[in-house]
Amino acid sequence: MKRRQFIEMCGVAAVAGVPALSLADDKKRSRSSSTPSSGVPGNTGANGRVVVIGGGMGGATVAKFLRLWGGQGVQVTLVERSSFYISSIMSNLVLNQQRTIEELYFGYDALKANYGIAVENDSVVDIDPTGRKVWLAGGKVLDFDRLVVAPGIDFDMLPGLDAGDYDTLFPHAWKGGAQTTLLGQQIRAMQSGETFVMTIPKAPYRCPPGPYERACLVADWLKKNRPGARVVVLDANPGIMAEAHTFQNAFDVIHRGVIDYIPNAEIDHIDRANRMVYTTMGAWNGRVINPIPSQRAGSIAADTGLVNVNDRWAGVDVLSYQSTVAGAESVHIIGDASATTQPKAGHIANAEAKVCADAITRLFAGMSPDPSPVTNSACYSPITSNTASWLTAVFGYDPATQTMKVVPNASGEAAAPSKNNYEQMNKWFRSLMADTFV
Amino acid sequence: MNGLTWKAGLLAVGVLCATTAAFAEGRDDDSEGASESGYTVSSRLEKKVRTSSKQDKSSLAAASTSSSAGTSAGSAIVGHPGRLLASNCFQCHGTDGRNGGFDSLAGESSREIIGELTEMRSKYEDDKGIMRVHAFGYSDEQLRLLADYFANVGR
Repeated sequence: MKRRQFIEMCGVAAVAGVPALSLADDKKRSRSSSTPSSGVPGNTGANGRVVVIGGGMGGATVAKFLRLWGGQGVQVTLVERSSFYISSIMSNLVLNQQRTIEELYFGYDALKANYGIAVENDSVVDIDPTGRKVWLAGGKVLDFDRLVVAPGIDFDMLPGLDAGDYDTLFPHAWKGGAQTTLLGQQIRAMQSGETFVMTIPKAPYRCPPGPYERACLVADWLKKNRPGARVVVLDANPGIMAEAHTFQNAFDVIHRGVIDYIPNAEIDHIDRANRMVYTTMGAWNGRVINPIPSQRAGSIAADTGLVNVNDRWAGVDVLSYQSTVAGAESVHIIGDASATTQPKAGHIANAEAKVCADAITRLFAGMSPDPSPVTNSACYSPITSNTASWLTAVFGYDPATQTMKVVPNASGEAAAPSKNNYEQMNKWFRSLMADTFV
Repeated sequence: MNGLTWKAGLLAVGVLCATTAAFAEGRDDDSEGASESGYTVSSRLEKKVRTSSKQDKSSLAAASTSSSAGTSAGSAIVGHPGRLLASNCFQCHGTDGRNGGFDSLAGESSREIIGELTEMRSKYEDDKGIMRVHAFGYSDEQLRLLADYFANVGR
């Protein structure tokens, strides 16, 4: 039901806003310098059919690079139920009205035109990894040699909440979309002296710095527009999970007196009627309650038997992102749904997708995956309306543990938030989305 | 995929490593500014393919593809051993190092790319802080491979 409502909302928005995609400039550029599919080389010796399920950061990237690197012999069909993607990256800036949600829409036209990717705007009903087929709700059956599943995340229901509460009363807004808009409206309806309560689930969750970034931006907006209002951050984890130096400083100094940060606060339940959040560290009342639930692989992964790690995530071999489920060797899972040592976030989903595309291209050419892939995670986090910090890490394959490990000395965070970082953040976002969707 | 295919795959790792090594060794004969010296990706790859012998058929295919596609698209450098490494730069510097929000890398000499990254390791500058972290993420050999990719990708 939630999903249908969401799709319907997207449908409305699609009519109004999709032609004005924020990548219009990139599309113009790519089209002026190339005819359709000109970015795709001829036959590279790699031949096969790939179906990609999910058109988010991982799915769009893997579709693009399978064609860009695999060439004309690699046929790619992208299945996505929504006609466009709404970025979660930068969506906290919708809350303080620095961006509109429409500016975070990214369509699939450039992927079709520039790389000859077939896009099926439909939902997946079932997959058969052995018979190598995907059934779509609309009745189509797609054959594949390799299937890439990139479904992102789904959310647990917090105790005390009913199905549909996230869409109406207590938006988690942990996926860019209608809930983002709703949460922004709720924040603007707050009065001076009222409290915004947010909860952070135990790791791993999508976008490790994201909740702390949100706390900072909401605090920044409230202190300018609703003096005396407060932000309470109830973190189920024992401490700040990313950019600890940056966010501790932001909480203690930059937003001093506005943010109360409570670690080890695991949710017991939420009292809807009294707007109370009960945790292991006490109970809080909030004029606005923003409960970010614990997360797991997008439901298609569990529904098709690909979830085999902690009952939540899909195990993969990080040389190729091939499923570790016996019998599902034709299936690869990338992005937030997969269980790896890498963070769950859009930038690194793009990097994982490239490793996967390279591996599938090699497999189609009778070779094996690159034995020493490197990925990188990077993100900029706004701390106020005009300053940002950054966080980055480079990961290399460790044969001993068969995992991706941070390369020594190759991880770090900004020394301090700055205006320069804020400008770089905008460049980063624009480039990342173009590398993914154009 | 069955176990047999994986075994075949493992054999192919050896081939790939051999190709990579040949490519890297070949680097020494070449001037640092490969793209500036004017020889094309395809001729370069063909040369590597010749030196790396019959083993790597996909690179042969790649070389012929790239000569027909020219250097207008980075994708033409099929099978370049620095390609996947270089793709870590695309998110900020644009696909193939073109049209990104940050410095363009496409067609830059490998000497310049390696020089800048090496300098970042030894010297801290606040506005290059994020790149300094990345500079530590790659071995000298990996830097050489990814820089070679951008040097040959065409502007």
